[in-house]
Order: sequence, then C-alpha cells, then structure tokens
Amino acid sequence: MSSETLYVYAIIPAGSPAPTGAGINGSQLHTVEAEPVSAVVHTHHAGPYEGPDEDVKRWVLEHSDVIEECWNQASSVLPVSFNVMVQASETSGATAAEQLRGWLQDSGQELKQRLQELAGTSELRVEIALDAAQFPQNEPEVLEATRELAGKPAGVRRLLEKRLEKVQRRLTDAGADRLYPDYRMRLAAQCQQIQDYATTQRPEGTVSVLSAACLVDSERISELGAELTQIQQEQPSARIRFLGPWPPYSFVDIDAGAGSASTPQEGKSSAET
Amino acid sequence: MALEVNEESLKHGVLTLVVTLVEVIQEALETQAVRRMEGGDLTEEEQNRLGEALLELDEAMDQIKADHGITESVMDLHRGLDDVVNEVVDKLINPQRWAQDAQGEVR
Repeated sequence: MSSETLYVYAIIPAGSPAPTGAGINGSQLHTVEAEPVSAVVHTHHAGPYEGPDEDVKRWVLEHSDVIEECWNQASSVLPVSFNVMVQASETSGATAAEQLRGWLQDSGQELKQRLQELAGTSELRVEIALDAAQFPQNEPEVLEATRELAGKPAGVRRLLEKRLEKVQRRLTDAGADRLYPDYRMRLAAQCQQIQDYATTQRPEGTVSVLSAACLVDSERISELGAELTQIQQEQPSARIRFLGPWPPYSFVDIDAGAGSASTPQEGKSSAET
Repeated sequence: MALEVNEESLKHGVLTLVVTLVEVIQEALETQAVRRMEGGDLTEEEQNRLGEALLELDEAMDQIKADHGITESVMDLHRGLDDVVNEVVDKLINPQRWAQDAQGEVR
C-alpha cells in the first residue's frame, strides 16, 4: 500500500501546543485541527506496523511517549490505540486529512466534553494480592497440616506439602473474596472512576484480591496512596502494586461517530500488503 | 503466501506444549493422590512411594526445562491456561457477567 495515510496518536484540545518530540521511527509529528479539537498525527506511507515482538514493543513505547508528551503539555488528552490510521477515501476522493477533519468535526462536541471531563486527571493502576503462605499462617487448619509434616519421609512430605498448599490456597481465596468489597469501596472513595480489569501477571504464590484502573484527580494521587498504605498496615500479607500516573488510557470511553463512515477506526489500514 | 516455519522455534513451541501438558496431568495426579491420602485409602508406605515418584518427576521436568531453556515459556503457557479456565468458570458461576460483557460494563 503506498497511498498517504495519517497515523493518529491522540486527540487534544484545539490550540494546544503540538508535541515537539518525534513519533514512531522518528516520524515528524503535526496536528490536524478541527475546532474544538486537534489530532496529533504523522504522515504515513505504509501499512500498519507489524514485525518481530521487539520492534512492536519499541513502536508501542514510542507511541505512548507521544501521548505522554501531549498529556504533559496539553490540559487534557484522549489517547488513541496503537496502529490506528486514517486513509484517503477511494469513493469520495477525500484525502486522509480531510477524512480525519470530517470525523473530528462530526464528533467534536463529544470529544471536547470528554477532554474537559478528563482535564487534570491521571490513571493509576492498583493491584492487591494476598500472599497465600502468609495470609492463613495462624489458621488452625494450617497449623495442624504444618505439624503433620514433621518427621515424615520425603515422599510422604511431598504429598502433605501439596495438601498444605491446597488448604492455604482455599483459605486465602476465601479471604480475598471477603476483603474485595471493602477494598474496592475504599479505593472508589478516592477515585473519580474505578474499573476492574483481569490481572495478567500474578506474582507466584499469591491470590488476587483486586486489580483496578483508577481515574484520579492528579492533585489527589497521594490520598489514594495513603489509603493503600493503610491497607498494607492492616494486612501485612497484602502484596500491593501501585502503578502510574499515566494518561487516562482506560477512561477514554469515546463512541463518537460509531456507525459513521468516517471514524478513524473504520479508516484503519488493513493488514493487506 | 508461503508459511515460513523456523524449525528451532517450532521445536521450542512443541516441547513447551508437551511439558506443560505433562505438568497439568501431574497436577491432576497429585490432587487425586492427596484425596486418596485424606480418605485413608493409602498406607504410609504407599504414600511414600507415590510421593517419591512425584519428586523424581519434578526433578526430570525441571531438568528438561532447564536443558531446553523453556522454563519461562512453560510458566507463561500455564498462566494463559489458568486465565482461560478462570474466565470460563467465572462466567459459569456468574451468568450476569454475560450481560455485563455484552453491555461493556465490567465496573
């Protein structure tokens, strides 16, 4: 595919300073303006980015660097997913820039409203898990199963250890279910929005209590941190990961122009070569 | 378009799959053994023999994984399988998740 397309990184309020850094593979960034918003793009002459994992990882990082720069400079940003491109229309003859401008104009009010709602916010991710060996260590069932291990031959110990592990796991699972509503409520009280997500990486030997993306007023991040410190003090077997702050990737929620023929998603380049 | 197959990567992938499946079967065997032990069906001598066989299997599997550099990929495949199973079980015991997913409201 050789026709000129626009690779889109983010939507920012019109008139915001354009990012000064480079895009993917050093591409030169510019903005396509359509009051009241602008799209940060680079002009692209090939298909979607595809290749070995290492290259994809680098491209995704370069993509997020641009979003992060927009987030630091503009008052607000709507991040766009990796590999979203706008093509020229074969039917109407409109260029990629005209297609994009048309979509920005059609969806401008909704995009502007969401940008205003997200102004001054950050996304943080909180993952709370329980250490399966530590959490139930004083439970009578665990103490009994541990006592039974003493003085047994290696083969028997192997089976008893397996049983102990099962008991620990069952008790920790039940504990995680018990703690979830309280922890979620306490975190939600510190957030504008909270959204659960499936954990992809669990530390070995732990049971997940909750994994949530939190949309927080950037000025109040430390209050969420203080709540987590409190949880850690109450529950020493809790393993807490607190990640961010990032642009509000999980809270864009834009359905603008769905069904219209001019959304960037629909103009996304196909994988055909 | 011709499919390009890297022989080394194919071997690595197949071996990872085989080792992971053996570990899944081993898990099932262990669960069964523990159940029998709890039910009092096994003498201490039988428990020891079974446990020692499992210990030898642990050692052999660790050796194979180290020799072929697949320790990490076996762990990844286990996590992937766990996630699939968790998702299915979660949906089976919480039918309302189907409706929530359909509406895109997983909050």
